[in-house]
Amino acid sequence: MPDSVLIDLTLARLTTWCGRCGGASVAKSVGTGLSDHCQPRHTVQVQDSAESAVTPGPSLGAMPGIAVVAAIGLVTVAFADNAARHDGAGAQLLFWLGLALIYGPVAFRLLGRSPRRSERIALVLTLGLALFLVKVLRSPAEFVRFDEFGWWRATHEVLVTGHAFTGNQLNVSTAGYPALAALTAAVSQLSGLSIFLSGTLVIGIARVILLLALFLLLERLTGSPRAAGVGIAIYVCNSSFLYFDAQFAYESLALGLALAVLLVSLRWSESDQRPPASLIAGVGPILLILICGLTISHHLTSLFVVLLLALWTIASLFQSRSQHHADMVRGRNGPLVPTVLTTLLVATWLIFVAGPTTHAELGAIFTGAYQSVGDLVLGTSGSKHLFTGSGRTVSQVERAVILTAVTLVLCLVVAGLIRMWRSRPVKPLSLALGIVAILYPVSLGLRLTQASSEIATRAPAFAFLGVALLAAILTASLSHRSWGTVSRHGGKLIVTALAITTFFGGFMLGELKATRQPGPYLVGAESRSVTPPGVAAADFAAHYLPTNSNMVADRTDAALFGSYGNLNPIFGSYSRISLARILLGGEFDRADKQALCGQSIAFILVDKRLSREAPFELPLVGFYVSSHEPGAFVRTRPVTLRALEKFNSVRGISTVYRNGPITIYDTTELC
Amino acid sequence: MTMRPNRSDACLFFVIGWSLLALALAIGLLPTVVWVQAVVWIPLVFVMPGYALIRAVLPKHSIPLLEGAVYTLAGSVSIVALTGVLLQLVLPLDRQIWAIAIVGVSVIAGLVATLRWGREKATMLPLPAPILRISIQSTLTLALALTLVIGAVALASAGARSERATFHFTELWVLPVTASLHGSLVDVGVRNHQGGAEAYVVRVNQGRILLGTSKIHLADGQLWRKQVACKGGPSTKPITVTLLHHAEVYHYVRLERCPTPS
Repeated sequence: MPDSVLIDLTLARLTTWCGRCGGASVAKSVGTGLSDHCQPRHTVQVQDSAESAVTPGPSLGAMPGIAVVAAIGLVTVAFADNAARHDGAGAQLLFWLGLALIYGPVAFRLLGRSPRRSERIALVLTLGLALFLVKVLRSPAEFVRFDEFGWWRATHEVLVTGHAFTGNQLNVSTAGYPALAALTAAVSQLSGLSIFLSGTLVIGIARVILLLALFLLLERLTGSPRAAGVGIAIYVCNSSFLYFDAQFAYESLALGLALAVLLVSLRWSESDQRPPASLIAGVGPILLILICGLTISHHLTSLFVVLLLALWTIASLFQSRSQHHADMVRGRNGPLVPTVLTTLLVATWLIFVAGPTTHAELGAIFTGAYQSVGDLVLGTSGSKHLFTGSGRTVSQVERAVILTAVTLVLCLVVAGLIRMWRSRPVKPLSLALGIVAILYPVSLGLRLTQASSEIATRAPAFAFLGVALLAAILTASLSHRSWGTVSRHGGKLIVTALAITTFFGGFMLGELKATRQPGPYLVGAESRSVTPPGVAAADFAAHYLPTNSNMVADRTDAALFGSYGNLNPIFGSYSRISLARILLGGEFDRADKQALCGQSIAFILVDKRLSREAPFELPLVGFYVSSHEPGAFVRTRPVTLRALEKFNSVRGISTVYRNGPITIYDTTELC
Repeated sequence: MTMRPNRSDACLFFVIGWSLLALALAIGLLPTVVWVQAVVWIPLVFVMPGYALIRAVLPKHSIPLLEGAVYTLAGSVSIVALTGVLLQLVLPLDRQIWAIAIVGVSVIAGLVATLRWGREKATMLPLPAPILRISIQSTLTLALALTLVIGAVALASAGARSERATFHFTELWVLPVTASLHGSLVDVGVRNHQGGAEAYVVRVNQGRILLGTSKIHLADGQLWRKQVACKGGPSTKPITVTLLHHAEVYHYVRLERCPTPS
């Protein structure tokens, strides 16, 4: 039976108005708790595709046992992280074993035909939450990532001042997108929990929303819970899923809301109420609330949703013109209203509320990426050296895993697009997501330049929505006979092994080796540079130094002092004098003084460990203070201790604090 | 086909009742304990506003349970965030304001739902099928999984604590006291992070003049502070504070000059 006919039959089982029900076939509900009778209002019932026959009722099946295995995986990860803290042998191997125990059994089970819908949903949640806990286990007591410090500060400002829209130097966009800070402040104030626990809870809930909404979306588009489950198993392979999109930051919250907006937009578009008075009174408020929530959460995610809705609308318009496909869209509302509403709200917020700092931030990212890619294409600059940086090289094994993962995903994208082409006509939203999947190979190209890497880091979270759909479409298109043949010959094991490889490779691509697990201090290594002396010094600053005083420090200490310390780290330059040279230059000269005084910098923080020579260490991320500092990414020698200690002998600069590695200099007398 | 009687929705009344309980907790009518606050307020922030909204705008069972759960969670998150963003335009957000706002939204939406759909005519709908059946064996297995997860978190937390304990250091600082009625003063502080009790000697000099010496014993984590008066009022001579540990110079800090009192 051609796939397009199979899809049509599945759609034919959707029941909506009672007026249709009289003549329509009755759909059996499986695990939805709905009746198997038509509903008086707009209702969509989904039936499993052919692989799941009439079943007596929903149950968890093998999920509890698999949850135990996943929990053992988490215990293994915890052991691995503890070993890594002391540079113990075998820590890495144990870590990958733990991840395999979490991902492998779930993926294997989701590939099967036998699990019921309820079990698949439970498995998806188990997978997503277990992987979220991997990130929590890495730092169970405090935030350690740069963005997390910025949002800690933003939330703290809401708690202290009672007002949102306060920006900070760690993340200027907190001023324009206050949803995360406001929500976390509410949880913290009402429950009495710390900002860390409240923020972790918020992101955990956002993760649940993301997974459930994506599952339902994929299920509705393919008509198959099995396909939806497989799609989720592929989605979690994106390079930002495990850590970047699980961190306490606005994109993590916005992704869940974005999927919820798409889901409710699908419900709106598939309803055939005309005129839509009841729809406006019913689904309308939900749509509006979710779009508003998304709008105030994150700029890039809301722009992505606008783009996706626009693609969907265009695809719908093209399809509705065709007589051939009229039966698919006849009487449906379509996505035009959600598209217009989202576009208006997002644009209004971006233009009138988010402010010039957000525009500058987004503009700088896209302009920098465009210029660097242009330079690369024209040959005026070389590409970034892949798999090397700051004197470190990725091992051969890791390179092989990453390249294998990338290849597998590219093959999946190509195969999925071919299948989609052969199955046409497809649903307009499926077509739009198929186009989004093409972002994946584009994002790989963006990794070739430093400036565009920022976009390359964020793109997978969106591109993999399309990749997940293509994986789901391929899964749904496999006939029972084909899948039976594959399963009998160990195919499921092979596919699971490939999926694990893709998962590992994605994670390796998105996270530096040194920061995947905790461990001893490393120079300029983001989370690996957050240590008790730095935290103690920041705590001192919060209690004894004037709040919001300007200061200069290396990146990690700037994050600590800009958050816990309640100071204002300054980056960038003044009159073309890079502020980083104040810290890193060999001598303190007139230009440094000019920049200090021009920016009203009151404090300089020096971490002597930056000059470590035994073992020889360059900053892991390629720079000490900011990516625009002189020598960023090309440095071959660490900054000297003499350079860091130059302030000891400068008249007008006081040494007000020491704790061993950390020294704070007061420069207020200098200007 | 079973006729469903016209009846009040217990879930909606539960939402309203829970919201009012939480409000009583927030404004101090009931004793506040952190874990009780967390248990009461977390569902109220993440579930109830969205649930009440969905019930207010859609009739019961008009969307599948799982989809309703997505809208409940996402709707609650959006409502709380939007409420805060709008309220802070006119009022500073504090615990009471949050409580009244979130409870207000939940209760109003719940009442709207009750009034709007409470008079719904009995329909031809059969009672919904059971959502999920979980056997005792599955329950015990899930309990085991949960126990392991808690164990993993405890293990990781213990590991993080033990790592922090390997860092041994001492903080030393000197700060000008700007608002002083007793002349030019500096504030000297020492905090011990050596992992155990330690003895220190703190020596404060103004140029070559010794202003004072203090022998101190600090437990781990303990703070010592002292205000020291400069000799002869504001001076251009630097103030140096030297911290001796095990008879050796451990740290020193320096103020360029004694501050001028305001």
